[in-house]
Amino acid sequence: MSSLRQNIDRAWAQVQAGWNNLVSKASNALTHFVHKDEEQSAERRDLLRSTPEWGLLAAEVHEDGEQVTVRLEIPGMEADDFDVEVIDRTLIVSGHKHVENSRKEGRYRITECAYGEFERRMPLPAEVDSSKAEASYERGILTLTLPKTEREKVRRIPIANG
Amino acid sequence: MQDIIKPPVVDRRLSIAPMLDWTDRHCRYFLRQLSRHVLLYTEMVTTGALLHRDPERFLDYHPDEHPLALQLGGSEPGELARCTRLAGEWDYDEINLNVGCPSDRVQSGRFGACLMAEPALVAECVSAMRESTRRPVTVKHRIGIDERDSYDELSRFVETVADAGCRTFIVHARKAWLQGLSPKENREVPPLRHETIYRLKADFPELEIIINGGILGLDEVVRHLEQVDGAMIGRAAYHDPWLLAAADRRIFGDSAGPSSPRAVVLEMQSYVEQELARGSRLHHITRHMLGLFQGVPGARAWRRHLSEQANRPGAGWQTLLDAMAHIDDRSRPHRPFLRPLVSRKIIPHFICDKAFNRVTRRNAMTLMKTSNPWSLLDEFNREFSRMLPGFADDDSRVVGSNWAPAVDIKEEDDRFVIRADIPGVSADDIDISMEKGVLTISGERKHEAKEDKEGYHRIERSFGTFMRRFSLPENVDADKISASSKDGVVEVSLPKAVKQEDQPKKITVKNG
Ligand SMILES: Cc1cc2nc3c(=O)[nH]c(=O)nc-3n(C[C@H](O)[C@H](O)[C@H](O)COP(=O)(O)O)c2cc1C
Repeated sequence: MSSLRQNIDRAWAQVQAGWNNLVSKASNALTHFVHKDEEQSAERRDLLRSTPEWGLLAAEVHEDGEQVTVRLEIPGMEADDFDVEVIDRTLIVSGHKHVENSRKEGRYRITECAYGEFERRMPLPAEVDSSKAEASYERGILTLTLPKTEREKVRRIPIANG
Repeated sequence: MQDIIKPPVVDRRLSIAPMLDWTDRHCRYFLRQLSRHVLLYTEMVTTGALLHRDPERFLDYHPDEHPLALQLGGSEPGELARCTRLAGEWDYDEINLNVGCPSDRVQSGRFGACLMAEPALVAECVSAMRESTRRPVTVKHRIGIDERDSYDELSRFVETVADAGCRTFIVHARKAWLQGLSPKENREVPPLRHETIYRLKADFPELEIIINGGILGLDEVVRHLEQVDGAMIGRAAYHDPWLLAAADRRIFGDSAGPSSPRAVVLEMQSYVEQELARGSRLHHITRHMLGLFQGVPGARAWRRHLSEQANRPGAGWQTLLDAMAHIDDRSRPHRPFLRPLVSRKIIPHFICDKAFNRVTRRNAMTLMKTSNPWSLLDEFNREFSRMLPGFADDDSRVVGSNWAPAVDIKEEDDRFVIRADIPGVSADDIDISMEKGVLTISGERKHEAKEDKEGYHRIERSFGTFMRRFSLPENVDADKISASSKDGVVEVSLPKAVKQEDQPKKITVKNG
């Protein structure tokens, strides 16, 4: 009996490891959307209940000598709905994706998009100066331009070939 | 002498799997109303049950159930031979030996998947059975058991059994773990390997190879038929029997087929009344019919009504009619609302705690053995299809497109609205077209980058072409479809109307 228990525990540990591996390799973009029960209309509450709690916020991080550029696909937001922070080389993008205000009552037949509050953390490849960061939101893509700190620029001097 | 009158050839292009407790005679009669040609299988009957108890109980069936195969479980050639003779007396069209059910080996009556380890014994059983009948004797098995899951071992098994005269092999595309997994887990945990069965067919072209395991609909059947001789569907057909309605037309080239799920119920009337008169309970028949209205408004009320009422004393035909009164299918096609034709099969775009929990718990045992988390991805996709309404039956990939946007679809009084997440694509690069009742949203996402190619630390985004297609309800006015786009969300508005247009139509996307 105790060996069965051990086996199951081990299996769980492996599931966790496997899952972590999977998450880190393929599904970093997986983001939890928390549903807050604040929606006013019954229709919107209904919709929220049927939407998935996880959505993909696909990101892209690019680094060059001067700056780090991050792009995040998060359609259907208002520019004010985002919060962006950098703490210790970790970028934190959070926000609230609201259910679209619709002009009319109706029934949702298919709901694949996720709504609610989310937060996505991403390690940055270099130290950045958040006071000089710039953000823009266009066509559903949040673009963050994060200039590197002077220290980083110095440290990362490319080694010449030869 | 023997060969003068040959029994009719059994057409195995599509069959319904033998399922204990599910494919009893009521279930089979019901499924027969959905397709005239699909080959039906009984539940497994063990030789012990058949020889030592009243065979009528296990062997009787309704004559309309033909074509019908009897599945036997056992491993004693003499007993199997006697049971095969009984099957002949009862006029079954085929006798099948179960070498696929993972049963406990310690049990005295050995049968099922453990026999895969003993091809010579299976061959002996098949010989004994063939000597007792002129009807085809077939074998249903797995692709392997436990650690003995190499292709070599599988092909040796098939070769040995074929030498004993078996021409038809029905192969469940999973191996079985004889210990540690329940029979149910053994149907879900080991990964599906359809390619293995294709290979078997290529190596044994003279044998009839039937593929089984995880097949969800007729589209998939059609695809498998390009590689193998037939396909067998189990759970999907039980849970969503209406998928069989098009089988006679699409698989067997016959114009027959029921016109609506409602018509199928009505076809059952005389059977239900006869059975009730014989002492059957309504519930025993209707429990197999709960999935018939899958996807139709009122389906849940239909299921609830039957589950609550069909077991009561006095429940009868009227109970079925009352249950059907909840169904709202008048003046609408069977699939009444706008629905995506193609599911997104790339890495899950949306994920649920629930799916994760269910999949991992189910995989705990396999992981213990393989620790290959990637097989989980497949499981996830399947779990999603199961958990998301409208997805279960659309499984086809869009060939040549790299990704597919997620959508919300809403029905309002006077229109449908599709909202699709298509970030990073300008309106000019989005194509929306409508033809023959199918709305297609497609286009291409180009990278906006000005940077050099190196220097990427993380790329999770997909680029290139995308596509998503939707079947339109008949009441959409194709002329009035409009679309707009804002913040990466494309909204397509489809006003309802009475008439439907069949002209190809292009819709321009306004920039918002
Ligand atoms: C409830 C249930 C009972 C089953 N009983 C049998 C059986 O008696 N004999 C057998 O060979 N397979 C049995 N199976 C396995 C099915 O025949 C089939 O091989 C399996 O479900 C995989 O096909 P599917 O993915 O299309 O369901 C059973 C499956 C289920 C779900």
